[in-house]
Amino acid sequence: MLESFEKIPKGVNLILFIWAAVGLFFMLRDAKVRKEKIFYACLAMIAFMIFWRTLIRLISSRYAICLILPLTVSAAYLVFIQGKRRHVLVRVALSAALAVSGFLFLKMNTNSVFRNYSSNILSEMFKDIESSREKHLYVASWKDFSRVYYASRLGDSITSIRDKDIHDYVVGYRNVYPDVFFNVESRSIADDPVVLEMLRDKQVASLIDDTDKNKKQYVYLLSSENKCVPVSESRIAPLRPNLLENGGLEQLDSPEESYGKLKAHVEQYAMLRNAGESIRTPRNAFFHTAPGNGFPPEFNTQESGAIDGNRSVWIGIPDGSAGLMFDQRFSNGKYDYSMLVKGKTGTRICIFFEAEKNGSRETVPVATFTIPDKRLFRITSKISVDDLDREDGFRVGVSVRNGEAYFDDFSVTPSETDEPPSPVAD
Amino acid sequence: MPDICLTKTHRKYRTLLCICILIYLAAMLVRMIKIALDPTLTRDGSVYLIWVENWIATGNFYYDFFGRVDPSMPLSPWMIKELMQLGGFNVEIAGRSLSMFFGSLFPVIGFLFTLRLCRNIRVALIAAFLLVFLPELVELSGQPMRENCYIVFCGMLMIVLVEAFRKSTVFKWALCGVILALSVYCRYEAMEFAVIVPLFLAALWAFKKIKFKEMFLNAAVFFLVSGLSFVLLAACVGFDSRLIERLSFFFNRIF
Repeated sequence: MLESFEKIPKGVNLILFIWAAVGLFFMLRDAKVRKEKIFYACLAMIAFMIFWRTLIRLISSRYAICLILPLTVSAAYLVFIQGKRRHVLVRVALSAALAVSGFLFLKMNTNSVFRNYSSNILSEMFKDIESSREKHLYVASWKDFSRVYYASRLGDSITSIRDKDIHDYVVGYRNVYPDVFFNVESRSIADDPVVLEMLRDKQVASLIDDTDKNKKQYVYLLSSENKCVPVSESRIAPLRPNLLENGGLEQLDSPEESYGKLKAHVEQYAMLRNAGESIRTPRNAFFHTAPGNGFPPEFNTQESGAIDGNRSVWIGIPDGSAGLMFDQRFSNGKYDYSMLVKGKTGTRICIFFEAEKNGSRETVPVATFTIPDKRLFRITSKISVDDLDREDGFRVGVSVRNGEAYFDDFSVTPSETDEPPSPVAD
Repeated sequence: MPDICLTKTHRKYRTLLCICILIYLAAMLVRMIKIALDPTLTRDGSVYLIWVENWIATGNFYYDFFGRVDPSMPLSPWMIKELMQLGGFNVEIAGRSLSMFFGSLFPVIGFLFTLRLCRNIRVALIAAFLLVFLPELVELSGQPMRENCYIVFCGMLMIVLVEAFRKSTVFKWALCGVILALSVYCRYEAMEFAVIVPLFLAALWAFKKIKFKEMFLNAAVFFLVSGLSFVLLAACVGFDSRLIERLSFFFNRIF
């Protein structure tokens, strides 16, 4: 109740509230006013309005704004009656008090009404983002989510998070998207040294919070360390040493083994009943998809159109996602994961690993890319796993969303530096 | 104290009208300067614009915006929507224009309320001056938020209430009912007047200005007219069963 009451002076302007309270005192002393019955009715109305606001629990001080009208009458009366004081001392004292509070009133006006901070910074910033960035994730603190959502027109690319989740998002999505924008309030990250360090020198915009001048919103841009580099098809050199068996996808499972794997992972799809037996899976790998991910997925190991060597994997899914995962498991550590990709422009590729965490299987996205054109690309990213609770290790995979692509020359190499391995670029 | 023009002659009415127009223009000027200097949209302001956009896109005001269920009354967004469709304005321009209109009108309402209450034009002019420059109101008038029309309707209700207290007629209490419905359709917090108005009636009876029967009749007229106005507004603005949910949410907050 007290909390709600405290919001009332803030909502109606503190100076006005004080003037109104003093004005009310003078009104009560005025015999002419005291004779008016409407005065008591209005007093009761103000008392009830304050009581009502404490009763319904003011979430925002703005809910008290309706009180401005009756309080202004009282404040105006104070200003008026001040001009009628006879006693010199009273006049001097009241004049000084009014002058000081009037000055404060004006100061508040100039600060809050005529403050001129970068007016359309959000709209301008989003214009730049839209024109220069192809794929990104915009993460906004839930407090300012609606404004960012409205100004940005980013639609589904924008995610709202609570303050307590900022750390997980900054750390977890560090490399998942090519660009991740974090729109957070300064106080939300002040006590998190890890996040502060990661966001250091990454600020791209700032704006003053409109409700409290002490708070500021900042926008940070974290660009991915992962790389997607075009390579010449005639000069392909895979990274060495490759820990992944059959990364070149040259060896195939027998038809029975292939069908068994497909039955285990994509059995529910109608296409398998017709074409399942003709699909051959690479040794040490399996195709996968999930119910509800859209269908029909199509995948196969192709000899025609192979990127490198005799075979490549082709995965196509017009609406949904399907992928390839390797059977081989790796233990805790830092690795560089790389592959060759060629496919339809706009196809989204997601690199991930699957691990046992806290007793349950968890798929963790590592990086997402959008195929920019029809050229051949080598995608490289870093995988760092150090918190597995069992010795099963983790396994790596890649998935395709809404499109089609050829994959070849998968490699997993131990990472010695924090920099991703240098692919052979053209 | 020069006893205020009690509006007995046309000349006084004209003077009053000129003062009201001047106050309105002054308020409008201050608010326009504010918007020119700082057109930044507040986050709550953007919520209202998103509501209107969703309303136009889906045909449903209570469209669930990212799973957020915000209790809201639809009159202000409806006016923005209608203004957009009538004038072909952008949602932000329509929202801000409406807020500017109501925000600039509020000092006029404040002037008239003080005038009727204190019967002193100097006090009323001081009140208008304060309301023209009050930072909270200037800030609010630049934002497309429902508070602007809410406070104008509440101010009008207070003026009629004072008038009805001074000289009680059935018409004035009926008018209170109409304005109450309008203000509740802006913000459900205006439900407080459903208690304040009967309290004023009770005070009139307590001060022996009206008889008990008259008090009861006026209260009945007030509630009947406000209920009818609410139904008419629902028919005009659109009614959704979730409106009842919003109101029940409000009562849950109290009890």
